[in-house]
Amino acid sequence: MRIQAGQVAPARDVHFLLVEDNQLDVELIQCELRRAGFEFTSAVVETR
Amino acid sequence: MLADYNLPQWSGMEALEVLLHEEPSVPLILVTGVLGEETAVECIKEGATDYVLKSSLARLPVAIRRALQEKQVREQRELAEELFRRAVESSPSGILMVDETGKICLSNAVAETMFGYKCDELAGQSIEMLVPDRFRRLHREHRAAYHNAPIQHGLGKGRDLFAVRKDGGEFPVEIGLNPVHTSAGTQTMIVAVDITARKQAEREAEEYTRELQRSNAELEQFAYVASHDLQEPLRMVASYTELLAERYRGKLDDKADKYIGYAVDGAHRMQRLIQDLLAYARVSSQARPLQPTDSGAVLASVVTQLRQTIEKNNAKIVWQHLPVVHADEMQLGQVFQNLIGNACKFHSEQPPRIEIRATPAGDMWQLSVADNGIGIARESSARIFQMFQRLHTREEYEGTGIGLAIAKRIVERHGGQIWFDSVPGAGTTFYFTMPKCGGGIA
Repeated sequence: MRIQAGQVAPARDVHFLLVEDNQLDVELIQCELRRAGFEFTSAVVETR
Repeated sequence: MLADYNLPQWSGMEALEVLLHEEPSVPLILVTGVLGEETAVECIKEGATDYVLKSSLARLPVAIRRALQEKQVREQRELAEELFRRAVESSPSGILMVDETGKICLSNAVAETMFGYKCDELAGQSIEMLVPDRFRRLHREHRAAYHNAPIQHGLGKGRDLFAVRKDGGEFPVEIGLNPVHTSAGTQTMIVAVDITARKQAEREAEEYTRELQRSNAELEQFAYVASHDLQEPLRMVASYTELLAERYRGKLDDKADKYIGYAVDGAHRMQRLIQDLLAYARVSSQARPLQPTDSGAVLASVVTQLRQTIEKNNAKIVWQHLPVVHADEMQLGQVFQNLIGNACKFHSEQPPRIEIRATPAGDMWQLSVADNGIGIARESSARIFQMFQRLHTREEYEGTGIGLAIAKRIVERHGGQIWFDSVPGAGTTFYFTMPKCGGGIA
């Protein structure tokens, strides 16, 4: 089984893997995490 | 991992399946638009950490922090469990964990080897299976009493115990007990050490000591009786040879006078040797209990007794404050007498100057007798405390060579040691230790 869509997001020593097919939800979730103080960079990996 | 529940070709639950397979320690939070209560419960049951509805995204950071905290707690617990498991497994002692009813719930490899059972043969069995039949009832009572008041019970603090192996063989064990409070109640960790080898060594040491004591006692008795009983016939030999020498000197030929002289001299020497041997044996046979003894007063008395010798040699004896020691007064006096007597005897061209000092040394007082005499050659040091060992000829210095042997025996009877430092030609200092008795400096 392959992950269809996802996002890797390191936050200090925590890494997030977000599996989401909706770009708007990705942004909403990132926004919510940043607002809560999680600092991270992100990269999008599209899977087929 | 944050995963949507509904994805085009697969679901968050499938992501969970992958995660549990690849990285089971990573928490997964489902972030989804809608999720019925039944599905949510199902997800949690399958291993999801939490779920957050997209309409309540503000709850996501809270859920993440809680998930991370739980993960950290879980990892710490797992680490502690692993450490405990490894500590138990690597322990050189046998370890058994027993529950409140006396059932074994854990054992390590050493315990299994020690008792001859496999791990699964011990699990769930009563601990009494490892106790010999005759002790089982008592053991149950002790176990119940321990359960009512569980306290740490260190190794080697209890009585001698016996255990029984699977093959029925018994062996002595030392047991330590430690109550371990768990969510399943108070369990008892038993640390067991097979002390068969130690007990054997102890028995051998005891037997050896008994044999040595018996042999020493016999030898002392023999030395005492022999020397005591020898005195009478020897006195007769000495008396009659002396009589012979007096009555017949000059009446026989020169050779006869010389031979009689040898016989008289030999008889006298033998008398001295026997008297010294008796004195040596009396260190044990006529020993008196140790009690607080003013060593300064003992020394003063010895100096009075040796007045003639001291005056004859123009010796000067000095001491300052000397302590109260735990000693047999007569024997301490004997040690001083022998050391001071030697210091007077083995003087150099200078008049003897003898100084007695005391310094504390732990539980003992270290006393020293220093002189400015002829000193002792290094090569003689090994035999100086042996019985009848003389470093000089009889013509040079009188005496049988028993004095230091007696001093050593007395000091050792007091639990002390005796030794010396010497510079040949410059002097010797003898040191000996005597037990303290809290009397301080007299």
